[in-house]
Amino acid sequence: MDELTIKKQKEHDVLTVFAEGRIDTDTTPKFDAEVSPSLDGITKLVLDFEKVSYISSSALRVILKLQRKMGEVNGRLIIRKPTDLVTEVLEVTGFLDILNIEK
Amino acid sequence: MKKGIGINTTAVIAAVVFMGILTTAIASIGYKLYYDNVMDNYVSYTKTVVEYASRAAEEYSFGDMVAAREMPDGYEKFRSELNKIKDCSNIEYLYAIYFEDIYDIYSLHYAINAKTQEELSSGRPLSEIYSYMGKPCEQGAFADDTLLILQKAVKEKNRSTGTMEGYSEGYGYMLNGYHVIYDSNDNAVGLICVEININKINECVQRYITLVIITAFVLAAITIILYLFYIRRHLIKPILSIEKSSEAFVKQIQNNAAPEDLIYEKVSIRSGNELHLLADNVQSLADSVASYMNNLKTVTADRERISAELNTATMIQQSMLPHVFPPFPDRKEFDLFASMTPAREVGGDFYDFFLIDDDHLGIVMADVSGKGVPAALFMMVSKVIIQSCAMLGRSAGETLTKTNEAICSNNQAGMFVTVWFGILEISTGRITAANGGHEYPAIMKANGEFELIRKKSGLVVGGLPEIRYKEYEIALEPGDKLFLYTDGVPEAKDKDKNMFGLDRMLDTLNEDKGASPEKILANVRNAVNAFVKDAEQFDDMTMLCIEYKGADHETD
Repeated sequence: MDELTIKKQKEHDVLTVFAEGRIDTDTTPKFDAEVSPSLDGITKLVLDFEKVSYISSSALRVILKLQRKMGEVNGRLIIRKPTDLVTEVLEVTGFLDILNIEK
Repeated sequence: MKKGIGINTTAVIAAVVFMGILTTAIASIGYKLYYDNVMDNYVSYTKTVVEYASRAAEEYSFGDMVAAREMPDGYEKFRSELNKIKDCSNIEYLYAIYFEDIYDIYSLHYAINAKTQEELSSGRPLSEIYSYMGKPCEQGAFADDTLLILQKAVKEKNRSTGTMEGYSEGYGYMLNGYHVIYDSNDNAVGLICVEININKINECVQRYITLVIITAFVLAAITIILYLFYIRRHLIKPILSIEKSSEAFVKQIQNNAAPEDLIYEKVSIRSGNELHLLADNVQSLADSVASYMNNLKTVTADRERISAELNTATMIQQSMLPHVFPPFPDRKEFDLFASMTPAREVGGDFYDFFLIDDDHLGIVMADVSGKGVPAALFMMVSKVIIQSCAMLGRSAGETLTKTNEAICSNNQAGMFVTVWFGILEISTGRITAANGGHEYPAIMKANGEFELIRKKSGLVVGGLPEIRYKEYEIALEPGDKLFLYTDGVPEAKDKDKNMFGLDRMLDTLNEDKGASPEKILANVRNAVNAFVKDAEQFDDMTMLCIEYKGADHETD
């Protein structure tokens, strides 16, 4: 089984990404390739992490990049329902302070 | 590769076999056609002679003579008529016969016979040469089945002329023609017979067959020689030259010739047929192989060069990190040990420590996002910037803030580094620390357990500009230990992707918490190795442990 599955849902200028699995060094390129090219005209990007069990620092790099892209168009990046382990990673790395988290 | 029978020999054998079959076929068909044809001619010739003789018999009322078994005046006139017929034709015998008793095939008698001038002039008396009416036929002159056919013709009053082939000891192969004779009352009384010797036919046919076989053989031989010459020139020779060239090429490869020396000798084929295409294709295949091997050599050389460069890079990186322990032999206030194990040749993790002044020790534990050469380059830059800022006398928080600014001002690749940076005041054991998104350190207070210092982190360094990093303090008493690590330790995975985890890490630390920093690092590394077993090391793994011994252990 693939360790990461991605589903996308687009409504006007809102893109919601449902990720399931682990976003680690192996699967981050897939995550990046699925999300980054779909941002044309998007001003609100929601990353639904309810079913993400783990994220590594390589995933944080992509999240940081997405955050910058949203910043460029005055948009917003939202992390929705991060699991405890993901929240812990975000907290340790200081990302909790700069990201919009939606519980 | 062992060769079977060569294509050349095969072609010759096939041609000879073909020639044999062809010659036999031509001879057989020729024999059959020729024999049938000659036989037809003889049959029709025989019939003509028989019919001519039977007409003469009618004219001379020979039927009545036979019926009466008499030889009147006309008898010898009729014979001289028959003699003329025999003179003018090429027949062996001409005679008339009758059955004395139609139900007895052996009651055959001669009625008359004919002779040529040549036979008559032999000097023998006429009474011996001629057969007269009523002379019994010699026993065995006719085969039984011949007699039965003749009997049947008379019995059934056959009006047409019949022929048959017969063989008898005394006369050999004969073609026999017969016609029934009638008297003036239309009774069948006997037969006029003609015999032609067909032993001659067989001689003829044999001569013919010999001629046909010789001709066919010569023609076939000429054709085959021409054919062989043609396929040799246009088929076999080109194939053999392709074979020769490719074998030479394969030999070069087997002998490990240098790729740039590989030569496929060009095969020139003039004809524009499939062989030409084959030669071209083999040529381009060989050229491709040669150029592929050339490429491979270049790529291999490149890889070897890169590998050599990476080895050097590993050495440079390792030597950039302080790696002599104990690092400050004359400082007895603390004991410190650190190690970095990259997952690849070079890594993005690093530790660092340096004396800022006599009383202050800078301690760095950092992890650059990503792995390999890009991470290593970024790591070198980060390490230099952090140390430079710290050496200027800035506090831990200011150092990270400045480092973040420096990195953000020129960070096209979007790299970042998690950094824990602490400054130990050696005389008091007080550490001022700032955390840029790095793992929480573990502390062991004297006689206590190792536990994580869960102080709030700032953002990773290089993530966003204009971040200010806050500081916190850790007070170390003599005997206290501080353990720093990168995420390679808790996130080490076994082959089922289970992570080593922080709990296991803390358990390992506490199992032998009294150990020296060097032993503690060895314990953790052993525990991680035992956990991941033969799974590949996935991330860089870096650890540092410092034990504070107190200001009492002063410099000698």
